[in-house]
Amino acid sequence: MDLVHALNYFVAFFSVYVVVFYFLLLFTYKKNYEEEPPIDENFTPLVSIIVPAYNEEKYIGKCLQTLLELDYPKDKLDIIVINDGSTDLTEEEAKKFEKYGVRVVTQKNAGKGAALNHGLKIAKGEFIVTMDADSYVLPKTLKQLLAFFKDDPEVMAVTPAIKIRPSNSLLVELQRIEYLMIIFSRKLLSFIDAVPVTPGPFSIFRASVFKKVGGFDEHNLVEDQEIALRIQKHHFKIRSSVKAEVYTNPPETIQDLIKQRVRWQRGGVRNYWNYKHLITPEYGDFGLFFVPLNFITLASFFIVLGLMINAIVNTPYYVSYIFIESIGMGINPISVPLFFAGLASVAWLALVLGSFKNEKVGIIPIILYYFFYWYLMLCYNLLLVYKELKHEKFSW
Amino acid sequence: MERKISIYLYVIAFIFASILFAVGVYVGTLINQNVMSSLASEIEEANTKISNIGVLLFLEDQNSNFCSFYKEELTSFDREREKLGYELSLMEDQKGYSSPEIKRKYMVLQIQSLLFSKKVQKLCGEDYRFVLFFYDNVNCTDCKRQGEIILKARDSFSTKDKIKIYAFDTGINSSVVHSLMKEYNVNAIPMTIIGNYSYVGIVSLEELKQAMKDADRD
Repeated sequence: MDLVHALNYFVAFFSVYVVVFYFLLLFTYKKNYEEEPPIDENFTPLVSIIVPAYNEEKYIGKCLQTLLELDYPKDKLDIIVINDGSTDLTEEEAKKFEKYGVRVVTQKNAGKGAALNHGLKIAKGEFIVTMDADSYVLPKTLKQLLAFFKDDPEVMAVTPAIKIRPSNSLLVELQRIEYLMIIFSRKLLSFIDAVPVTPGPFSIFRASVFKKVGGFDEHNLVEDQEIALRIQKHHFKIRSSVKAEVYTNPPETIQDLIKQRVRWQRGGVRNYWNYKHLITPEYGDFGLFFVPLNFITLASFFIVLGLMINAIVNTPYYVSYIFIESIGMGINPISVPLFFAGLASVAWLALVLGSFKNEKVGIIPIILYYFFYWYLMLCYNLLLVYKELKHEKFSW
Repeated sequence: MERKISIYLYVIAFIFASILFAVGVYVGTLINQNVMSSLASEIEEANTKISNIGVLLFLEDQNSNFCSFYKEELTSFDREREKLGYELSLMEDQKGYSSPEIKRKYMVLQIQSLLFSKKVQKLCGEDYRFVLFFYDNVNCTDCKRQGEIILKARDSFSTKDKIKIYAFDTGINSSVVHSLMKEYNVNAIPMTIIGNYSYVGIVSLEELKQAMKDADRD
């Protein structure tokens, strides 16, 4: 068997394996999926909410408004805006909320990680929430998330269900589907202690965890992932909710989306590389399955790209004589297992979207998600390589 | 926290994935077998067709009244023969599926075409040029490239139907191919025989075009 065949077989088997694994994970933990700890109205510790903001004049007002409307005792809420040297009216917008007890601090532009650390320094709460200024929260969310901490002292962080409001924009709808998929799989990963990120919009932490593992990495493209990896490194639990909802504003143009995703992807690859030492049995399923999965997935993207180029470059000349006939002529035997994997992933998509009773998604975005959106990953990965080779600097 | 390793999940996933994968590959093979058997029956039909021309050619050994019929039949037959050849190669090169038995039958088909075309050339004074290409699909890195150059050279002629290419796979165990190799002294591959000249290895496009052009003068 030559290298091309071996790589073809590897990618096909890997795809089938991953799809099967996720289905098994779902069947194993199906019962636990909807179960979330009940809200305890008497459990109301002091919570600090840190809102790092850089040029967010458009969104920060709504963000702070929803924070003030949280169903939580107002004297137990400590809302801090860290204005990271915005050049627009972010500071002025935030200061409108000072009369409601919101603290607004301005620092020289130093990045999101530095802004969060600034917030941590002055936060008084027993629990810390990070909140992206372009997101907004529902009233019940905080209590729903806090419930995870009450009976389990090992839980150090909880991630919410980050959603996007339905939109007329196709690009936003595609991202909405993706976010729903992420909520679902993150919940499943929490059952095998493999949550890999505590996202910017409304992830909640025990304040003590920062004393144990340190603050946010100030030189990281995706500091919300790095902190989660560090928490995992220290064997603390991260839980995930599918009911505590937060809404975020996604990029609305393809350029902004690509920019955001290349940043995530680039930061992600660097982070996993820095935490590759977690690939040991000591880190359980996280070390043995999830971290390697990221590397293999990335490698597979490039293998698939290479195979595609190879297939195009090496198309024999004679194929041009029988081009029409060749379309329906026979198949590469491994394309059948790949087809199975494809069918299974369609079933997965239907299953996930069906599980969100109140989220209606149109058929066109679903089709495009499957046949177009997912392939943008290839583009992100290529840009990632390009930027890494260029040693391009990181920014917000 | 006490970490767990869900070994049972990995093992069950591996078993399921292996079954799914094996079933998939098997179904893929069945589909390809189906394609190959329809190719085999097309080759059978072509063999019957060429044999019919052959019978007529031998019965009317010196009679040139049928020349236009022969030429027409051979041209359409050779188009079909080439198409079958490309389809067999496609299955082998691209889909990873080959059947030596079907290929042997195809080699016989080519030899019949070669013999009858030579006879028609003699009887009817037809201006055919024959290109014999000996290759191996496994142990020859230059063969694919050379095959491509031959086709490109042929395509550059406006009278390309008159340039008859026969490609013989020396890697399959075919007695007719072996006797042909003996006849033409094929001791290296890729070998291209045009007219009375043999070329070993990669021959440039220009050189091949010239050889094809000159072949009728030999």
